[in-house]
Amino acid sequence: MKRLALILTLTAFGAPTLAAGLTPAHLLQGLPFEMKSRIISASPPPEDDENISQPIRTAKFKTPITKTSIHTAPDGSLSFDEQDVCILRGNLNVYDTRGKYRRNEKDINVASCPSTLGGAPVTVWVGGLLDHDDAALVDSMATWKFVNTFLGIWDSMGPIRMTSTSSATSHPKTSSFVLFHYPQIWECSPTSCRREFDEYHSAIFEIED
Amino acid sequence: MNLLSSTNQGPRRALAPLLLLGLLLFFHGADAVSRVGGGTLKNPQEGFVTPLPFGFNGAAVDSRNNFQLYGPIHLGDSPRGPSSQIINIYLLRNQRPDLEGVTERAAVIADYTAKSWRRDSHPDACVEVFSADRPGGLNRVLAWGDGKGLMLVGTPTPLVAQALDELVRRLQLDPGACAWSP
Repeated sequence: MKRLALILTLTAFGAPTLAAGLTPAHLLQGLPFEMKSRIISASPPPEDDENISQPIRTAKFKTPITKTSIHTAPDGSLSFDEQDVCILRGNLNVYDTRGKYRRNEKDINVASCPSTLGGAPVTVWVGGLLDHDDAALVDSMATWKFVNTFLGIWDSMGPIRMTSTSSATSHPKTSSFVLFHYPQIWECSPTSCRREFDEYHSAIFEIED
Repeated sequence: MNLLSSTNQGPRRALAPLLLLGLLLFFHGADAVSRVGGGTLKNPQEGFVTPLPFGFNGAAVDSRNNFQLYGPIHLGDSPRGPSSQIINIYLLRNQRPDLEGVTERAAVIADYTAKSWRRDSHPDACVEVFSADRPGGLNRVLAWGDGKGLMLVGTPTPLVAQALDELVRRLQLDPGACAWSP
């Protein structure tokens, strides 16, 4: 059985500092940016894009953007406090061509959160996870293997290939957040995909000043 | 130069360029914080070294040389979905500046136990360990006198708890770092 977990990586600009209790002079050097930089450098899929015409499924997603802060209790202990600061909504088209998974970000429509994220435009990157059956499809990239580790339960999964990232380098790295999003788990046959289950969505974000 | 730094433990194949880079950074006076996989957390001024726990990667150093580790996403069964697993590592002097100059071990023990922190043991008899597990964070304090030490706080998940234990247990003091009065 092949499974695909979709990842959205979003970058916003002019955003406030929301990192977990630390002055965020770091996030472009942190794990999320490692992913993003890999996304930027990833090769396009080997198959012809002409074969990718209509999406197999269009997934709608709703993702909370969470602010994490640290509180100090009277006894001196520290606690993480998370609260949703806004909700991102969008559509995600998933393509399936010749039995291969396809993802394409061009139809994604993400609403920014003007009041809390500075009213800045949001750029979306879409990626995916493939299971070990798809290992031959994709490059062996250390970062992707690391991502598999990062994702914990996906131990058996192989590396990942990202789709087009043409807009990735067009934005300055002034302020950014990175969002990991898992809107759907898909079960695919060579000719079709179906949603295995829904409503599994969340966000991990980072912000840099 | 960062007071709290980590060094990388990459694959053997990458050792040569890493060593070269490390030497260049060393002689250039830049900080050698590594944020990619594994590594060792150390601070010569505080006088300790500890390996980063498996699965956690250093990703942040703030202006006060506090450090942040990121672990794998915690999937769990929360209706909110996956959550981040983070360990913040603070220099104790940043959290408890009042302990600087305090070399009486009993005073520090009394301070924490009076606040319902649990006193734990450590392989190095010089290191005092105090724990406070709260719903919003797992806290550990390691102290070795004169305000030296670390405060760790992690998100409350089993993996973070395990990583905290590993960080605490594997911490080693540099020779002469113990600052308790005899």
